[in-house]
Amino acid sequence: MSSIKRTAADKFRALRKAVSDEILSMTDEEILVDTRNNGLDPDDIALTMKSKAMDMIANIRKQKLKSIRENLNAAQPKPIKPIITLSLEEKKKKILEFFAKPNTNYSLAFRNGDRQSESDWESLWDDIVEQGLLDDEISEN
Amino acid sequence: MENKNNAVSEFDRITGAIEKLTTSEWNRLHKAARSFLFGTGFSDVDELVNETFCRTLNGTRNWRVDVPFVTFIINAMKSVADGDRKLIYKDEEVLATDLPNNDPDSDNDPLERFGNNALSPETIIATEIDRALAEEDLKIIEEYFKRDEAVEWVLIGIEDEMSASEIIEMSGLTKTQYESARKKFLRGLDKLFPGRRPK
Repeated sequence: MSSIKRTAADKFRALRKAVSDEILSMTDEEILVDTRNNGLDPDDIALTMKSKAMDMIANIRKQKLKSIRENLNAAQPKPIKPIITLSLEEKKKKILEFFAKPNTNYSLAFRNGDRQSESDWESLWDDIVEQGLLDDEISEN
Repeated sequence: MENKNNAVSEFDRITGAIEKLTTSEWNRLHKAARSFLFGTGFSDVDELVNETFCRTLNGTRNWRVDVPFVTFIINAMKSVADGDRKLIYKDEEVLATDLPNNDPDSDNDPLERFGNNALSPETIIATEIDRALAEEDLKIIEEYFKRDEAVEWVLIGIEDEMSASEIIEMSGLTKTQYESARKKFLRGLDKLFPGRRPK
């Protein structure tokens, strides 16, 4: 006999081991007779337990599918917002508005008279955007 | 190493086995589950059986091909009833290789799991409640069989993990008396448990 003081939990572990060995040693017929002797119907027991297990399996399947779907969604790259580049006319308008602001520290002076080519405007636009004074694109919202 | 496909097929293998259980096998599981309830916080057979199936289906327990499914489930139920806190505790162990930044692609910090809940006040209270429940249940069983000396010897012997020959030698029972008492006790334990224990 063990000299170590055994807790109730230790004793139950040993009891459960003995019980499982005993129940596994019983024949199918002994099991069915035992259920009937307990005033229960073996078919009812089987049907009820099976039905509950099937419900649980269906729930676990649903959860697994949901989890797979969420992982798939998380793995997909986020859609990039379509970018619309400004037209030359819009760029001109924005340039003029920018320089027309009353509190601006910048002024506009063209080297070759008042009339500018499209490439001049594009070049000016690029310089302004490069300095971060204006945004060269608009997002579609 | 298991991949996701193997995990899926394991799930299907187990659900297939559950679907194929016969009437006597369901009744065997029922009897075992009801016998295991003493000393646990599970209130009825359904709770213990569902918890066991759930852990098995989620891959917490592995069913070896050479073990009959009913044997595997009964052993798993026994293990669940015995309590798995230690296993959970081991799972939460943090190793040197788990240190943060070991995997630059991971945003999980395993050290956040350090200081597991094994010694949390909630766990200590739960453990105390479990202990009190186990002691109370043990008294019910011992009290019930008090009038049957042969069963009492068997009970004492099993509790102290004595061998059959040791119990026979100490008790003075014949082998037949011992086996009869053992059968009476182990096969009758489930009858003692109330239909459903209030929570």
